[in-house]
Amino acid sequence: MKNNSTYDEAIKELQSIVQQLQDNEIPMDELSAKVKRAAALLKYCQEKLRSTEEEIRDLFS
Amino acid sequence: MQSYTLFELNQYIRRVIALNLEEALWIQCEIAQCNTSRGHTWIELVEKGEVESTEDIIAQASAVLWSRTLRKLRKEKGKILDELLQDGMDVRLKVKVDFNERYGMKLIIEDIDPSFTVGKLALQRRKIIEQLDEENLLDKNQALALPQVIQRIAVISSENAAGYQDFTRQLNDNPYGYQFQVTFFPSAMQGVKVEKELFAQLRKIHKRANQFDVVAILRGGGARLDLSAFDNYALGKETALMPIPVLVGIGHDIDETVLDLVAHQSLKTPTALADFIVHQNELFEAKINQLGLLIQSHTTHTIKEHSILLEKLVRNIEIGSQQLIQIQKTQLDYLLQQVQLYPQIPIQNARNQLDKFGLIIDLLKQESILERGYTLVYNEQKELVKDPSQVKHQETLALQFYRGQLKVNAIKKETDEE
Repeated sequence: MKNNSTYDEAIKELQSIVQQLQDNEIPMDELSAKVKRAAALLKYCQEKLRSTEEEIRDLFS
Repeated sequence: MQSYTLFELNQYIRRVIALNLEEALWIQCEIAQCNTSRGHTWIELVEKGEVESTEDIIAQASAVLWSRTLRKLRKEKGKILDELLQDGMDVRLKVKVDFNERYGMKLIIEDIDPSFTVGKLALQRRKIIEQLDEENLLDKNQALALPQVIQRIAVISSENAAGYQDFTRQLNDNPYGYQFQVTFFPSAMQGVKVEKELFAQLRKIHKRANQFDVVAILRGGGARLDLSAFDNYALGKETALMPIPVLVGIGHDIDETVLDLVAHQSLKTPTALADFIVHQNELFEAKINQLGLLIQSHTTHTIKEHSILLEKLVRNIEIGSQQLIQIQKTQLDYLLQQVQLYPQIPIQNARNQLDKFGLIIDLLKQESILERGYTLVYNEQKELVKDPSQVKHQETLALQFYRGQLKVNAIKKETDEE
Protein backbone atom coordinates (compact mmCIF):
# COMPACT_ATOMS: atom_id res chain seq x y z
CA MET A 1 0.00 0.00 0.00
CA LYS A 2 2.68 2.47 0.82
CA ASN A 3 4.50 3.75 -2.26
CA ASN A 4 7.74 5.74 -2.50
CA SER A 5 6.19 9.06 -1.63
CA THR A 6 8.25 11.27 0.62
CA TYR A 7 7.56 11.77 4.27
CA ASP A 8 6.05 15.17 3.52
CA GLU A 9 3.70 13.77 0.88
CA ALA A 10 2.60 11.03 3.27
CA ILE A 11 1.90 13.50 6.02
CA LYS A 12 -0.07 15.65 3.63
CA GLU A 13 -2.22 12.76 2.54
CA LEU A 14 -2.71 11.66 6.14
CA GLN A 15 -3.83 15.12 7.15
CA SER A 16 -6.25 15.24 4.26
CA ILE A 17 -7.83 11.93 5.26
CA VAL A 18 -8.17 13.10 8.85
CA GLN A 19 -9.76 16.30 7.60
CA GLN A 20 -12.23 14.31 5.57
CA LEU A 21 -13.04 12.19 8.63
CA GLN A 22 -13.57 15.29 10.73
CA ASP A 23 -15.84 16.79 8.11
CA ASN A 24 -17.69 13.52 7.73
CA GLU A 25 -17.19 13.53 3.98
CA ILE A 26 -16.38 9.89 3.44
CA PRO A 27 -19.06 7.59 2.06
CA MET A 28 -19.57 4.43 4.09
CA ASP A 29 -18.29 2.19 1.31
CA GLU A 30 -14.92 3.92 1.26
CA LEU A 31 -14.55 4.36 5.00
CA SER A 32 -12.72 1.14 5.65
CA ALA A 33 -10.37 1.61 2.70
CA LYS A 34 -9.56 5.16 3.75
CA VAL A 35 -8.84 4.21 7.32
CA LYS A 36 -6.68 1.36 6.10
CA ARG A 37 -4.75 3.81 3.91
CA ALA A 38 -4.38 6.18 6.84
CA ALA A 39 -3.02 3.42 9.05
CA ALA A 40 -0.50 2.47 6.41
CA LEU A 41 0.64 6.07 5.98
CA LEU A 42 0.98 6.43 9.72
CA LYS A 43 3.11 3.33 9.94
CA TYR A 44 5.34 4.57 7.12
CA CYS A 45 5.82 7.99 8.74
CA GLN A 46 6.55 6.56 12.14
CA GLU A 47 9.14 4.23 10.66
CA LYS A 48 10.78 7.02 8.66
CA LEU A 49 10.98 9.22 11.72
CA ARG A 50 12.45 6.48 13.84
CA SER A 51 15.21 5.68 11.33
CA THR A 52 16.05 9.40 10.86
CA GLU A 53 16.30 9.83 14.59
CA GLU A 54 18.65 6.88 14.81
CA GLU A 55 20.87 8.13 11.98
CA ILE A 56 21.22 11.56 13.53
CA ARG A 57 21.99 10.10 16.92
CA ASP A 58 24.76 8.07 15.26
CA LEU A 59 26.21 11.18 13.59
CA PHE A 60 26.66 12.98 16.84
CA SER A 61 27.62 10.15 19.07
CA MET B 1 126.23 101.15 -31.96
CA GLN B 2 126.32 100.32 -28.29
CA SER B 3 125.96 96.73 -27.34
CA TYR B 4 125.55 95.40 -23.89
CA THR B 5 126.51 92.05 -22.60
CA LEU B 6 123.82 89.78 -21.42
CA PHE B 7 125.22 89.95 -17.95
CA GLU B 8 125.03 93.74 -18.05
CA LEU B 9 121.41 93.56 -19.16
CA ASN B 10 120.45 91.12 -16.51
CA GLN B 11 122.35 93.08 -13.94
CA TYR B 12 120.41 96.15 -14.89
CA ILE B 13 117.15 94.34 -14.73
CA ARG B 14 118.14 93.02 -11.33
CA ARG B 15 118.78 96.53 -10.08
CA VAL B 16 115.46 97.83 -11.46
CA ILE B 17 113.56 95.07 -9.83
CA ALA B 18 115.42 95.43 -6.54
CA LEU B 19 114.69 99.07 -6.56
CA ASN B 20 111.02 98.90 -7.45
CA LEU B 21 110.06 95.73 -5.76
CA GLU B 22 111.98 95.97 -2.53
CA GLU B 23 109.17 94.67 -0.40
CA ALA B 24 107.50 91.31 -0.69
CA LEU B 25 103.95 91.38 -2.03
CA TRP B 26 100.88 89.29 -1.69
CA ILE B 27 99.72 87.70 -4.91
CA GLN B 28 96.91 85.41 -5.90
CA CYS B 29 97.61 82.63 -8.32
CA GLU B 30 97.24 78.98 -9.05
CA ILE B 31 99.76 76.25 -8.47
CA ALA B 32 100.35 74.54 -11.78
CA GLN B 33 102.98 72.19 -10.54
CA CYS B 34 104.74 71.52 -7.29
CA ASN B 35 107.97 69.58 -6.85
CA THR B 36 110.20 68.96 -3.93
CA SER B 37 113.93 68.49 -4.31
CA ARG B 38 116.47 68.45 -1.55
CA GLY B 39 114.04 69.90 0.92
CA HIS B 40 113.18 72.87 -1.26
CA THR B 41 109.87 73.17 -2.99
CA TRP B 42 109.81 74.34 -6.59
CA ILE B 43 106.47 75.67 -7.72
CA GLU B 44 105.19 76.72 -11.12
CA LEU B 45 102.61 79.44 -10.61
CA VAL B 46 100.07 80.36 -13.24
CA GLU B 47 97.09 82.55 -13.73
CA LYS B 48 94.31 81.32 -15.93
CA GLY B 49 91.85 83.31 -18.01
CA GLU B 50 88.70 84.69 -16.41
CA VAL B 51 86.28 82.41 -18.26
CA GLU B 52 86.35 79.02 -16.50
CA SER B 53 85.81 76.95 -19.59
CA THR B 54 88.70 78.28 -21.56
CA GLU B 55 91.62 77.51 -19.31
CA ASP B 56 94.15 79.68 -21.03
CA ILE B 57 97.20 80.61 -19.10
CA ILE B 58 97.67 84.32 -19.17
CA ALA B 59 100.56 84.55 -16.75
CA GLN B 60 103.22 82.26 -15.43
CA ALA B 61 106.13 82.41 -13.03
CA SER B 62 108.46 80.09 -11.20
CA ALA B 63 108.58 80.19 -7.45
CA VAL B 64 110.60 78.55 -4.75
CA LEU B 65 109.91 77.77 -1.14
CA TRP B 66 113.21 77.25 0.67
CA SER B 67 113.22 74.41 3.10
CA ARG B 68 113.86 76.68 6.01
CA THR B 69 110.81 78.75 5.17
CA LEU B 70 108.83 75.61 4.58
CA ARG B 71 109.67 74.38 8.05
CA LYS B 72 108.77 77.72 9.58
CA LEU B 73 105.44 77.89 7.74
CA ARG B 74 104.62 74.34 8.59
CA LYS B 75 105.09 75.13 12.24
CA GLU B 76 102.92 78.23 11.89
CA LYS B 77 100.09 76.92 9.74
CA GLY B 78 100.10 73.28 10.54
CA LYS B 79 99.27 70.37 8.30
CA ILE B 80 97.13 72.48 6.01
CA LEU B 81 100.28 73.78 4.43
CA ASP B 82 100.94 70.50 2.68
CA GLU B 83 97.35 70.46 1.42
CA LEU B 84 97.77 73.93 0.01
CA LEU B 85 100.89 73.06 -1.91
CA GLN B 86 99.13 70.83 -4.39
CA ASP B 87 98.79 71.04 -8.11
CA GLY B 88 95.70 72.99 -9.04
CA MET B 89 95.31 74.88 -5.77
CA ASP B 90 94.38 78.53 -5.80
CA VAL B 91 96.69 80.20 -3.29
CA ARG B 92 97.59 83.55 -1.87
CA LEU B 93 101.32 83.93 -1.41
CA LYS B 94 103.60 86.53 -0.09
CA VAL B 95 106.48 86.63 -2.56
CA LYS B 96 109.66 88.53 -3.01
CA VAL B 97 110.64 89.03 -6.59
CA ASP B 98 114.16 87.91 -7.10
CA PHE B 99 116.02 88.41 -10.30
CA ASN B 100 119.24 86.65 -10.73
CA GLU B 101 121.55 87.21 -13.70
CA ARG B 102 122.13 83.56 -14.10
CA TYR B 103 118.74 82.04 -13.38
CA GLY B 104 116.37 84.82 -14.28
CA MET B 105 113.31 85.77 -12.30
CA LYS B 106 112.15 83.73 -9.40
CA LEU B 107 109.50 84.44 -6.81
CA ILE B 108 110.65 83.59 -3.35
CA ILE B 109 107.76 82.51 -1.20
CA GLU B 110 107.83 83.99 2.28
CA ASP B 111 104.34 83.38 3.49
CA ILE B 112 101.02 81.86 2.56
CA ASP B 113 97.44 82.71 3.44
CA PRO B 114 95.47 79.53 3.94
CA SER B 115 92.19 81.31 4.54
CA PHE B 116 92.26 82.58 0.97
CA THR B 117 92.35 79.11 -0.44
CA VAL B 118 89.78 77.86 2.00
CA GLY B 119 87.60 80.89 1.36
CA LYS B 120 87.87 80.55 -2.38
CA LEU B 121 86.97 76.93 -2.22
CA ALA B 122 84.06 77.68 0.05
CA LEU B 123 82.85 80.31 -2.36
CA GLN B 124 83.16 77.96 -5.26
CA ARG B 125 81.28 75.35 -3.36
CA ARG B 126 78.46 77.72 -2.53
CA LYS B 127 78.13 78.74 -6.15
CA ILE B 128 77.94 75.13 -7.26
CA ILE B 129 75.31 74.37 -4.64
CA GLU B 130 73.26 77.33 -5.76
CA GLN B 131 73.42 76.23 -9.33
CA LEU B 132 72.42 72.69 -8.51
CA ASP B 133 69.58 74.03 -6.40
CA GLU B 134 68.31 76.14 -9.26
CA GLU B 135 68.24 73.10 -11.45
CA ASN B 136 66.32 71.19 -8.75
CA LEU B 137 69.05 68.65 -8.48
CA LEU B 138 69.90 68.96 -4.77
CA ASP B 139 67.15 66.69 -3.51
CA LYS B 140 66.74 64.52 -6.55
CA ASN B 141 68.73 61.54 -5.37
CA GLN B 142 67.35 61.82 -1.84
CA ALA B 143 63.86 61.62 -3.25
CA LEU B 144 64.58 58.11 -4.46
CA ALA B 145 63.28 55.38 -2.20
CA LEU B 146 66.02 53.40 -0.54
CA PRO B 147 65.62 49.72 -1.42
CA GLN B 148 64.32 47.72 1.50
CA VAL B 149 67.07 45.21 0.95
CA ILE B 150 70.50 46.32 -0.24
CA GLN B 151 72.55 43.54 -1.73
CA ARG B 152 74.10 44.64 -5.02
CA ILE B 153 76.47 47.50 -4.35
CA ALA B 154 78.50 49.45 -6.90
CA VAL B 155 81.54 50.72 -5.01
CA ILE B 156 83.69 53.56 -6.26
CA SER B 157 86.93 53.82 -4.38
CA SER B 158 90.65 53.82 -4.69
CA GLU B 159 92.13 50.36 -4.83
CA ASN B 160 94.58 51.03 -2.08
CA ALA B 161 92.26 53.04 0.07
CA ALA B 162 91.97 51.75 3.59
CA GLY B 163 88.40 52.88 3.34
CA TYR B 164 87.52 50.19 0.84
CA GLN B 165 89.10 47.46 2.96
CA ASP B 166 87.25 48.67 6.05
CA PHE B 167 84.02 48.79 4.13
CA THR B 168 84.12 45.28 2.73
CA ARG B 169 85.30 43.85 6.02
CA GLN B 170 82.48 45.51 7.91
CA LEU B 171 79.97 44.27 5.33
CA ASN B 172 81.13 40.69 5.28
CA ASP B 173 81.57 40.41 9.02
CA ASN B 174 77.99 41.41 9.70
CA PRO B 175 76.45 39.41 12.53
CA TYR B 176 73.31 38.46 10.62
CA GLY B 177 74.93 36.48 7.87
CA TYR B 178 73.76 38.81 5.13
CA GLN B 179 75.49 38.25 1.79
CA PHE B 180 76.47 41.08 -0.47
CA GLN B 181 77.46 41.41 -4.08
CA VAL B 182 80.03 44.18 -4.38
CA THR B 183 81.20 45.41 -7.76
CA PHE B 184 84.32 47.53 -7.62
CA PHE B 185 84.83 50.59 -9.80
CA PRO B 186 88.29 52.00 -9.17
CA SER B 187 88.92 55.69 -9.14
CA ALA B 188 91.46 58.05 -7.66
CA MET B 189 90.11 59.54 -4.46
CA GLN B 190 92.87 62.08 -3.92
CA GLY B 191 94.66 64.52 -6.12
CA VAL B 192 93.93 65.92 -9.50
CA LYS B 193 92.62 62.78 -11.16
CA VAL B 194 89.63 62.51 -8.84
CA GLU B 195 87.16 64.56 -10.80
CA LYS B 196 87.78 62.91 -14.10
CA GLU B 197 87.92 59.31 -12.90
CA LEU B 198 85.06 59.59 -10.43
CA PHE B 199 82.90 61.15 -13.11
CA ALA B 200 83.77 58.41 -15.58
CA GLN B 201 82.86 55.69 -13.09
CA LEU B 202 79.58 57.37 -12.19
CA ARG B 203 78.75 57.46 -15.87
CA LYS B 204 79.60 53.80 -16.24
CA ILE B 205 77.45 52.82 -13.30
CA HIS B 206 74.59 54.94 -14.56
CA LYS B 207 74.47 52.86 -17.72
CA ARG B 208 74.25 49.68 -15.65
CA ALA B 209 72.12 51.15 -12.87
CA ASN B 210 69.54 48.38 -13.06
CA GLN B 211 72.20 45.87 -12.01
CA PHE B 212 72.73 47.53 -8.64
CA ASP B 213 70.73 48.54 -5.58
CA VAL B 214 72.94 51.44 -4.49
CA VAL B 215 76.19 53.23 -5.28
CA ALA B 216 78.78 53.60 -2.52
CA ILE B 217 81.55 56.16 -2.85
CA LEU B 218 84.29 55.47 -0.36
CA ARG B 219 87.40 57.22 0.77
CA GLY B 220 89.49 56.69 3.82
CA GLY B 221 90.09 59.72 6.02
CA GLY B 222 92.24 62.26 4.27
CA ALA B 223 93.21 65.83 3.86
CA ARG B 224 90.50 68.34 4.41
CA LEU B 225 91.41 70.35 1.39
CA ASP B 226 91.48 67.26 -0.73
CA LEU B 227 87.76 67.20 -0.33
CA SER B 228 87.55 70.15 -2.67
CA ALA B 229 87.70 67.66 -5.47
CA PHE B 230 84.22 66.61 -4.43
CA ASP B 231 82.96 70.17 -4.66
CA ASN B 232 82.44 69.75 -8.32
CA TYR B 233 79.43 70.66 -10.42
CA ALA B 234 79.75 67.83 -12.91
CA LEU B 235 80.09 65.24 -10.13
CA GLY B 236 77.20 66.76 -8.26
CA LYS B 237 74.97 66.70 -11.32
CA GLU B 238 75.89 63.15 -12.22
CA THR B 239 75.19 62.02 -8.66
CA ALA B 240 71.86 63.82 -8.58
CA LEU B 241 70.80 62.19 -11.80
CA MET B 242 71.76 58.67 -10.74
CA PRO B 243 68.63 56.54 -10.89
CA ILE B 244 69.65 54.59 -7.80
CA PRO B 245 70.55 55.99 -4.37
CA VAL B 246 74.15 57.17 -3.98
CA LEU B 247 75.67 56.66 -0.55
CA VAL B 248 78.80 58.56 0.31
CA GLY B 249 81.42 57.79 2.97
CA ILE B 250 84.42 59.90 2.23
CA GLY B 251 85.77 60.17 5.72
CA HIS B 252 85.59 63.56 7.28
CA ASP B 253 84.15 65.20 10.31
CA ILE B 254 82.75 68.62 9.79
CA ASP B 255 82.70 69.83 6.25
CA GLU B 256 80.11 68.74 3.86
CA THR B 257 81.07 68.68 0.26
CA VAL B 258 78.74 69.13 -2.68
CA LEU B 259 78.82 65.38 -3.12
CA ASP B 260 77.61 64.91 0.46
CA LEU B 261 74.75 67.31 -0.07
CA VAL B 262 73.57 65.78 -3.30
CA ALA B 263 73.94 62.17 -2.27
CA HIS B 264 71.06 60.16 -0.84
CA GLN B 265 72.97 59.56 2.36
CA SER B 266 76.29 60.82 3.65
CA LEU B 267 78.08 58.83 6.31
CA LYS B 268 81.17 59.83 8.29
CA THR B 269 83.29 56.87 7.35
CA PRO B 270 83.22 53.85 5.02
CA THR B 271 82.70 51.69 8.10
CA ALA B 272 79.67 53.73 9.06
CA LEU B 273 78.41 53.34 5.50
CA ALA B 274 78.71 49.59 5.73
CA ASP B 275 76.86 49.66 9.03
CA PHE B 276 74.14 51.75 7.47
CA ILE B 277 73.62 49.21 4.71
CA VAL B 278 73.58 46.27 7.12
CA HIS B 279 71.15 48.13 9.34
CA GLN B 280 68.75 48.67 6.42
CA ASN B 281 68.63 44.96 5.81
CA GLU B 282 68.28 44.29 9.51
CA LEU B 283 65.24 46.55 9.66
CA PHE B 284 63.70 44.68 6.77
CA GLU B 285 64.33 41.33 8.39
CA ALA B 286 62.80 42.55 11.64
CA LYS B 287 59.77 43.76 9.72
CA ILE B 288 59.38 40.41 8.01
CA ASN B 289 59.69 38.56 11.29
CA GLN B 290 57.09 40.72 12.86
CA LEU B 291 54.74 40.15 9.95
CA GLY B 292 55.36 36.45 10.37
CA LEU B 293 54.37 36.64 14.01
CA LEU B 294 51.32 38.69 13.16
CA ILE B 295 50.25 36.17 10.55
CA GLN B 296 50.78 33.39 13.03
CA SER B 297 48.77 35.00 15.78
CA HIS B 298 46.03 36.12 13.44
CA THR B 299 45.57 32.76 11.82
CA THR B 300 45.61 31.01 15.17
CA HIS B 301 42.99 33.43 16.39
CA THR B 302 40.88 33.06 13.26
CA ILE B 303 41.09 29.28 13.36
CA LYS B 304 40.09 29.31 17.00
CA GLU B 305 37.16 31.59 16.25
CA HIS B 306 36.03 29.36 13.44
CA SER B 307 36.31 26.17 15.40
CA ILE B 308 34.19 27.70 18.16
CA LEU B 309 31.67 28.73 15.50
CA LEU B 310 31.65 25.26 14.01
CA GLU B 311 31.06 23.67 17.37
CA LYS B 312 28.18 26.02 17.94
CA LEU B 313 26.72 25.13 14.56
CA VAL B 314 27.07 21.41 15.24
CA ARG B 315 25.24 21.84 18.53
CA ASN B 316 22.52 23.83 16.81
CA ILE B 317 22.10 21.23 14.11
CA GLU B 318 21.88 18.46 16.64
CA ILE B 319 19.34 20.24 18.80
CA GLY B 320 17.40 21.58 15.84
CA SER B 321 17.05 18.21 14.21
CA GLN B 322 16.00 16.59 17.43
CA GLN B 323 13.37 19.25 17.93
CA LEU B 324 12.07 18.72 14.42
CA ILE B 325 11.77 15.02 15.00
CA GLN B 326 9.98 15.66 18.27
CA ILE B 327 7.48 17.94 16.53
CA GLN B 328 6.85 15.32 13.88
CA LYS B 329 6.37 12.66 16.53
CA THR B 330 3.82 14.78 18.30
CA GLN B 331 2.03 15.40 15.04
CA LEU B 332 1.94 11.71 14.16
CA ASP B 333 0.58 10.86 17.58
CA TYR B 334 -2.12 13.40 17.06
CA LEU B 335 -2.96 12.06 13.60
CA LEU B 336 -3.04 8.52 14.98
CA GLN B 337 -5.47 9.63 17.61
CA GLN B 338 -7.65 11.27 14.99
CA VAL B 339 -7.56 8.28 12.69
CA GLN B 340 -8.57 6.04 15.55
CA LEU B 341 -11.28 8.29 16.81
CA TYR B 342 -13.02 9.76 13.86
CA PRO B 343 -14.10 6.73 11.86
CA GLN B 344 -16.13 5.71 14.89
CA ILE B 345 -18.44 8.63 14.42
CA PRO B 346 -19.90 7.83 11.01
CA ILE B 347 -19.99 4.19 11.96
CA GLN B 348 -21.85 4.97 15.12
CA ASN B 349 -24.19 7.24 13.19
CA ALA B 350 -24.82 4.58 10.62
CA ARG B 351 -25.43 2.04 13.33
CA ASN B 352 -27.91 4.32 15.02
CA GLN B 353 -29.57 4.91 11.72
CA LEU B 354 -29.78 1.21 11.05
CA ASP B 355 -31.19 0.58 14.51
CA LYS B 356 -33.83 3.18 13.85
CA PHE B 357 -34.71 1.53 10.57
CA GLY B 358 -34.84 -1.81 12.30
CA LEU B 359 -37.34 -0.56 14.83
CA ILE B 360 -39.52 0.97 12.14
CA ILE B 361 -39.41 -2.19 10.10
CA ASP B 362 -40.33 -4.21 13.16
CA LEU B 363 -43.29 -2.01 13.82
CA LEU B 364 -44.40 -2.16 10.18
CA LYS B 365 -44.02 -5.90 10.20
CA GLN B 366 -46.30 -6.15 13.24
CA GLU B 367 -49.11 -4.13 11.71
CA SER B 368 -49.37 -6.17 8.51
CA ILE B 369 -49.53 -9.41 10.45
CA LEU B 370 -52.37 -8.13 12.58
CA GLU B 371 -54.27 -6.80 9.52
CA ARG B 372 -54.40 -10.33 8.20
CA GLY B 373 -56.25 -11.47 11.28
CA TYR B 374 -53.40 -12.84 13.26
CA THR B 375 -53.11 -11.92 16.89
CA LEU B 376 -50.11 -11.36 18.99
CA VAL B 377 -50.15 -12.95 22.41
CA TYR B 378 -48.58 -11.17 25.35
CA ASN B 379 -48.19 -12.52 28.89
CA GLU B 380 -48.63 -10.63 32.06
CA GLN B 381 -45.06 -9.37 31.75
CA LYS B 382 -45.99 -7.85 28.43
CA GLU B 383 -43.67 -10.24 26.67
CA LEU B 384 -44.60 -11.78 23.36
CA VAL B 385 -45.50 -15.44 23.75
CA LYS B 386 -44.42 -17.62 20.90
CA ASP B 387 -44.37 -20.93 22.64
CA PRO B 388 -47.49 -22.30 24.37
CA SER B 389 -45.48 -24.51 26.63
CA GLN B 390 -44.31 -21.40 28.39
CA VAL B 391 -47.86 -20.54 29.34
CA LYS B 392 -49.20 -21.63 32.73
CA HIS B 393 -52.71 -22.89 33.36
CA GLN B 394 -55.09 -20.10 34.07
CA GLU B 395 -52.47 -17.50 33.22
CA THR B 396 -53.89 -14.27 32.04
CA LEU B 397 -52.87 -13.51 28.52
CA ALA B 398 -53.51 -10.43 26.44
CA LEU B 399 -54.50 -10.91 22.83
CA GLN B 400 -53.59 -8.09 20.52
CA PHE B 401 -55.92 -7.86 17.55
CA TYR B 402 -55.59 -5.45 14.64
CA ARG B 403 -58.13 -3.43 16.41
CA GLY B 404 -57.91 -3.64 20.13
CA GLN B 405 -56.96 -6.06 22.84
CA LEU B 406 -58.64 -8.95 24.60
CA LYS B 407 -57.76 -10.43 27.97
CA VAL B 408 -58.11 -14.21 28.16
CA ASN B 409 -57.42 -17.08 30.53
CA ALA B 410 -55.34 -19.93 29.28
CA ILE B 411 -56.74 -23.37 29.60
CA LYS B 412 -54.29 -26.04 29.59
CA LYS B 413 -55.14 -29.73 29.76
CA GLU B 414 -52.64 -32.15 31.05
CA THR B 415 -52.31 -33.81 27.73
CA ASP B 416 -51.36 -30.49 26.18
CA GLU B 417 -48.39 -30.13 28.46
CA GLU B 418 -46.41 -32.92 26.91
